[in-house]
Amino acid sequence: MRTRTVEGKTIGVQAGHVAEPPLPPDFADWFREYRPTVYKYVRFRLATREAAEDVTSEVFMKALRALDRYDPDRASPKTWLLRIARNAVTDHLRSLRRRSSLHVSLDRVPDLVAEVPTQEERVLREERLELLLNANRVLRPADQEILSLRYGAGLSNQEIAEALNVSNNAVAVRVHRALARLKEAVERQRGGSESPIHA
Amino acid sequence: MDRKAQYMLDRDNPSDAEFRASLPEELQALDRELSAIRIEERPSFGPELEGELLRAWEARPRAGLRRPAPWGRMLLAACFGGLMVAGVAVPSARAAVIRLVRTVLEEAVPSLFAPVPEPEVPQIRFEEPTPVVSEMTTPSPAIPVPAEPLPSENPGEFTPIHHYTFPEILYPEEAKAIITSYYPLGLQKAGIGGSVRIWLWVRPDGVPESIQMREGSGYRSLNLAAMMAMRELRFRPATRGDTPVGTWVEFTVHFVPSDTGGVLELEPVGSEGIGGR
Repeated sequence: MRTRTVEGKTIGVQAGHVAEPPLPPDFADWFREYRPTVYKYVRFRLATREAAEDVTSEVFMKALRALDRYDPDRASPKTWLLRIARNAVTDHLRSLRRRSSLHVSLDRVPDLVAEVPTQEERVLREERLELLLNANRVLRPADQEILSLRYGAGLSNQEIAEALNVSNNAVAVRVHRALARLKEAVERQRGGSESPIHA
Repeated sequence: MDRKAQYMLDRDNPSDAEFRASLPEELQALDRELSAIRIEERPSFGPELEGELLRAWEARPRAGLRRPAPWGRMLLAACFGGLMVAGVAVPSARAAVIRLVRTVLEEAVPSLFAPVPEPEVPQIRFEEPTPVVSEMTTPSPAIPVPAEPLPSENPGEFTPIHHYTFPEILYPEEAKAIITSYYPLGLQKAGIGGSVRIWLWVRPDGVPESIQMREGSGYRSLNLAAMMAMRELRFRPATRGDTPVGTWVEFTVHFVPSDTGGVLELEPVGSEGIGGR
């Protein structure tokens, strides 16, 4: 029996008995384990669920094609997938800038406010979310990136440090500054100004 | 993010808990608010995407994804590799291999081997020689005729018959070395040779001044090599009587490939079809 080790687990592949596995075993595991993280990161950065699904699909297609070039010594699978996701989001936003607005409207966020008990609270949460996401989109890309990794993908500072190849302290400083700029942007949006923040 | 999830996250990442605590109060509130955003996939999204990935994986040869080469292709590749190695290692087989590769390539990419039109004008050309010497003449340097004694500049005056000599290469061994140095190495190794017929205008001081290719070898690089090399050669000039004169002279340069890197035969054709002036 041929075996492969993925993330500490040993996976057996019986040669000759079973038809070719549907997806490469490593990749199938990564897909199940990290797809939610990738999706959440992408969704946090993009205005609509449809766009997030398209880009997430693209991320895994690219990863599947590049599977033989993945080097486990250079990055963990999660970091590798998030790197592909960051590039895919950047490409997507670039193409959107040429075609349409990135503005988030209320009808684009219902999937982000699930499990809210009352209708009134749901409406309030949607409005607040709309404000936060639109404020996030006027931040500079590096701030959007770090906030999306932390609050979208739900990564810890240490995981963000690995993904961005910087130190833990650097991540803490960047998140702190990005939060301060986001707060400022929220206040500006409340005041009606939508000019980009470049501190 | 509810309190339990927050607690679990902080427990797993104590540095994150410290980080949260270090934030100013208003940023802590924003941090809590952002952490509370619930992002959930559409339930059918995962299975749909997995289906797409499966289809892409199954169609990977057409999609450009890698698959181990089938045995037949590997065997063919091994045979070709062996043939190449034999061709490189065994000199006598080299020319045959080159011919085989050339034939295959000719079939596959005919445009690659389309005959190169020979340049009408020589690739290397100095200034057209001016008729500085009037002892020997011909109607035109391009259409030489056998040399004849010139009539005297003063008609009616007696014109002595002079003895003519044609240019000869000085230091023939050195000349061969020069021309060999221009023989393209790739053609030598490929066993490709050829002959280039060249006309030179050799000045009275023995320096070639104008070079014309009269007949090419079929390989542009060989033609160029012959012309470049001839430009560096030095000659004993043609004479009329005892006086050096300029004249056209024809040479045929033979490039002959050999194991030692190319042998060259220089064949002056001095007395036929050459006119001086």
